[in-house]
This record gives sequence, C-alpha cells and structure tokens, in this order.
Amino acid sequence: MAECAADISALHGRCIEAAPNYDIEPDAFRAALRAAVEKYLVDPQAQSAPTPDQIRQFIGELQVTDLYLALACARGNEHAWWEFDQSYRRYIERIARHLASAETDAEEVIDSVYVELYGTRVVNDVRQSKFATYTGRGTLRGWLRTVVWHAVIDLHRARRDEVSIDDWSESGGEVRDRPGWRAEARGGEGAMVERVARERYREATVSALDTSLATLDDHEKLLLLYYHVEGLKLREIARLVEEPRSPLRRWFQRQSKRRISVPDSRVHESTVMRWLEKVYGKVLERFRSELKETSGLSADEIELCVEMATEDLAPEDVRRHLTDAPAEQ
Amino acid sequence: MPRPKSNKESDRLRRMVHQHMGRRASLAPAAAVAGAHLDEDALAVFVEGRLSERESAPLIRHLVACASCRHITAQLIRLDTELSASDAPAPSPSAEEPGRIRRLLADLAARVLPSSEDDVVFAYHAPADDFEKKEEAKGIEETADEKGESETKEPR
Repeated sequence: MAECAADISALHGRCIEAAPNYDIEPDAFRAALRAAVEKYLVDPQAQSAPTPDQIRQFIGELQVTDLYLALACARGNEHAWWEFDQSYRRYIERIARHLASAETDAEEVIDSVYVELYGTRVVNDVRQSKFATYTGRGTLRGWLRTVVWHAVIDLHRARRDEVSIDDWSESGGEVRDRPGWRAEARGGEGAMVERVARERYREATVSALDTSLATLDDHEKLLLLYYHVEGLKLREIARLVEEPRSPLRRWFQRQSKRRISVPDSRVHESTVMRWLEKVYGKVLERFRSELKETSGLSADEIELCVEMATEDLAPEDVRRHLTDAPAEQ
Repeated sequence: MPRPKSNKESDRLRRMVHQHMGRRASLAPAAAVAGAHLDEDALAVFVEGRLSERESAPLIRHLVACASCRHITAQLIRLDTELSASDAPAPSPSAEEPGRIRRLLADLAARVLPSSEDDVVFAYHAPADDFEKKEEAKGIEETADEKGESETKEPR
C-alpha cells in the first residue's frame, strides 16, 4: 500500500474536487482503501501477497466517487445524504416496491433501509452505519440492491414467528422425510437377487456421479449449481456473465478457442448452453470411466447405470419401488 | 473433451446431472462452508461480475460450498434481470422540500440506541451553516423554473 500512496492521494484529491463538503480526511480515505484491498486482494489461501501493480490496478478500478459518498454518509454528512437521497432514493423505492409482498409493506422496507444505512447502534462511541461496509469494489447501486433485498427478507422473517417447515425445506434447508415409506423386505428370492444387484448398481452410479462432479473446476460446478439447483434460466446466467470482466465468463472463454478472438462480444443463451454441454461431456466421460475402472462394470452394466442415473436414485425411492412390488403372501 | 453425441444423449445426461444435483445441495465437503457467509458487499460485487480472477477465486469456492449464499446470489441475479426487463424511465422527482434531509437525519438520529443511558452519542456531522440557504435556493429554483421537467440525476 505504501508504494501506492501517490495514487491514493491523487484519487482523494479528485474526490475532494468533486465533493468539497464531504470532509473525509486523507487518513480515513486511505483506511477505507486499505480495507477494500485486504478484503478482496488478500486471499489467505493464496501463496503470494498482491504486488504493488495489482494493488494499483485494484484501486484504479474502485468506484471511488461512490465510496467517497458512502464514507461521508457513514459519518452523517448532510451534503452527502442530500446527494445520496437525490441519486438513490428512487432506485431504493423501485426495488422495495418490486420485492414487497402483501406481508411486507414497501414503505416499511424503505424506512428500514434508511435506518440501517444511518445506523442505530453505537459501539465505542461510533455509530455503526451500514455504509461503512461498502468497499467501492462494486457500484453503490448494486450494493444497495443487495441491502434492500436483505431488508425485505428480514422483514418477511420478522413477520412470521418462525419459518414453516415447508418453506424451509423448499429452500434447500432439509431433505423431506417420506412418512409413507416402509422399509420391510418384500418379494421372493428372485426379487431379492434383483434388489441386491440393483442396490450395487445404485451405489456404483451415485459414487461415480459424485466423483465425476467433484473433479470439475469450481467455475464449472457453480455453473451447474446455478442451472440445476438454483433453477436459473439460461438468459439469467447470460446476464450474470454479461460484464466482459466477469470471472466466470473469462474462465469459460479461456476454455473455448472460438471465443478468445472476440472476448468482449455478448454472451447469448446459446453460449451458456454450449458451456453447459461441455461440462456434461466431462461428467459423462468421467462417469463411464469411473464405472469401468473403479467398479469394474461392463459396457451393458454401465448403460444400465446411466439409465438408473436418469431416474431418482434416492434410496427412499428405490425402496419405494420395492414396496410397490407384489408382497409375498 | 467429448460432447454428448446426440440430442437424446444430451437430454439424458442433463437429466442425470439434474437428478443427482437436486439431491446434493453442495458440491463441496461441508467443512468448506466453515466461516462467515458473504456480506452484502461481496454478494453485490460477485453479481456485478467485477472481480478479478484472483479476487473471485475464494468467492466462487464459497458459493460452490455454501447453498445459502449461492441462493442469495441467484435471487439477486433474478432481481437484476427482472428490474432490467421492466426498466422504465424514472419519474421526475418532486421539487426538493427545503430542510427535508435535515429532518430525515434528525429523525434517524433520534433512533440511535446509545450503549448506555449516560453515553448518548449523536455521531453525525454538524450541518454547514450555508447548507440550508443553498438547499432553499435550489428548492425555489426548481419549483419555479423546472416544474414537471425530468431532472433525474444518474447515480455516479
């Protein structure tokens, strides 16, 4: 950071010129930039510390006027609040009205956001303004969108004494129990052999799928998770990677010779589908190889496992199929 | 890297991955989720796609492991898409009412909870003397000259 002192001073000078009434001292400005660098550029798992050039580039990419405004608002500066209110109140209102439901009143959301931004808790004589958590790495607008979204969720939760079990499990909180399930063994000897064989294939299939998914890169895993678990549509994923600098986009573009020549072109839904299909290809290749080499299955058995994998492989469901079989009289 | 050979195989594969992942909330060991959830700043920055690869690596690692944070980012992506789809020109703001911000801040300051009864702190910046005059002048100008005219200011 010390090697970037001149860059930081220049940025501070520009901010003062644009907003002379905000009264942010150089030390406070420097501390905010240092906090941003430490938050995003210093990865505890990375082997090396960021270089001065990396820090310089990072600082140069900060939304520094947004950060300056947020710092002044965190201190309760009236000029800054006036500017903030003029520039962002309508945006906050728009998101709040878009998200508000019958249970959460938009006006209440807006009020709650303003209160949180101002801060109502005092710790060591310092009011804890939400603005102090904004680093300037993204836009203030994007940050506010997240703050409003959280406020809506908090109010929604507060309106309910507790989240119902149904809601919780729908959001992925827990696996639903299947009360109708009965695990008693049924069927004759033939059925039992079939059951044992099926269980063997089921275990091999689940294990091979787990292994093949685990070997993917985190970028590929996240893409699959967004599409298959979170249910994002292709156009929504395309929007996520719309920004040419998006790390997901750059990672997938690096895997594709075709897109490298036009890195800034728009990402269409078909591009995202292509990325997905490449990942599926990797999964299938690894899946088959796992079944063959680790489980020692034949080509026919592997096909059977692929068939099984497209059904619901949960043990409960396998057992449910068994309980549906004619019972031994 | 092989791609699925046909549409049928591709569909089957997609269904296979879908079924399997539907039962797996995460593709990382539970131990990887240890630690705090992402805060609003990190969530917003990720959704905006502004991080370098060095910066995004720990976030992506966290999102793969943490269903809760990933779910929030997915909701924010949806919200962003919905908002952009319904992008309408913002209505013009009403003329600024003189002293409104001062009253807003006074109201907010009144809600500050001191850490003890003897320790009441109002930590906001004292208003500049010239502020109200400037604000009033602006309010009068806007009302007189620009009534009804759009003057929405683009956020910086």
